[in-house]
Amino acid sequence: MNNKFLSGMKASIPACLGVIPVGISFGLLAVKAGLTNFEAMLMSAMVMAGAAQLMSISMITQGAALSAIILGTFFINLRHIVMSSSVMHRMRKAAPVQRLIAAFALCDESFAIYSLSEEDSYFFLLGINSALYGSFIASTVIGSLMTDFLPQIVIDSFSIALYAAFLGLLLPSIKHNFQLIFLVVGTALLNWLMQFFLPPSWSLILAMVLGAAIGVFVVEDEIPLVDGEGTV
Amino acid sequence: MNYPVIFLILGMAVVTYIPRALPAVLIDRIKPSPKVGKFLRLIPYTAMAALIFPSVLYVDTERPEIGIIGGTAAGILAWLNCPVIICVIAAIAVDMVLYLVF
Repeated sequence: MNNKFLSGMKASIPACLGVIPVGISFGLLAVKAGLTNFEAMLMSAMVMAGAAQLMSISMITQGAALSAIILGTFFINLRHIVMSSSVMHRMRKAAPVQRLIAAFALCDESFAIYSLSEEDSYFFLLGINSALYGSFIASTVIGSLMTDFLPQIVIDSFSIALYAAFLGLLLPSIKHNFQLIFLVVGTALLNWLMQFFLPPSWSLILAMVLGAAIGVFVVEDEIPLVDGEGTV
Repeated sequence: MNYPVIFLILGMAVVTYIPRALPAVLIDRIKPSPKVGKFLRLIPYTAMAALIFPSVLYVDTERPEIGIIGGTAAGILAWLNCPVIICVIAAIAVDMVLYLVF
């Protein structure tokens, strides 16, 4: 068991290096948006989904309703049902409790590593998940503590940071795919148009769902992972 | 925020865990069609797009160039595959210069 757990941890090292900057950015931005250091850490420990957490911070700063943030989180994380289906098919011999534990921290990165390996074992996946989970929580804490040391002029310029984080997640994974670029630009314009009629948080949710629905027919190529490396 | 943050965290945790856990319980009984799978995997992209625009223009409601120039700096670095934290630091640095100099 130990060997497989350790080889899972080892296999996830490159992905951990990708997760750490996201965790630091989230920690910083969460505290800037008014969460305490503990709340920022707790969100990472309980939700474990970088893109959704950054979205929630953006929506909090816009003054979105609790229901809108939770609905948005639901949609952005619904993709995990596809990843989990394929992982659980391979893990069908594991005990139900083990499967439920493995599901908790299952994310794009751990799915990618598990899918590309020959190893079906529960402990291998647990090793991958634990390393990613630990890195994400630790980097969130580091990010939230950094706000204590930064001078005021830096904090004042922080409003741009969230958008910079979204661009940093989005552009590297779409730049080689013209259809995705087209879809992303179209969705942004759709969101802008709908904001003339709807509150920003609801137009955001509607734009992301409509955009993805249109994308099913517009984007033909493989879809790369949004906050990981490689294509699955 | 007019609600306790703990409700937000719990709500987000529940709606995130359910799609992860359902296939663990109902093994092989959930089979999203390729089209549904594609729809779900596209959502993070369209979400980011809608999160960036048009809000980035209102980073500073009196000075739209703060959002445009800071965002452009981050966008160029992201296009060159820089890590997220580098894009964030660069955008903050650019805006700091804009505030200090202009």
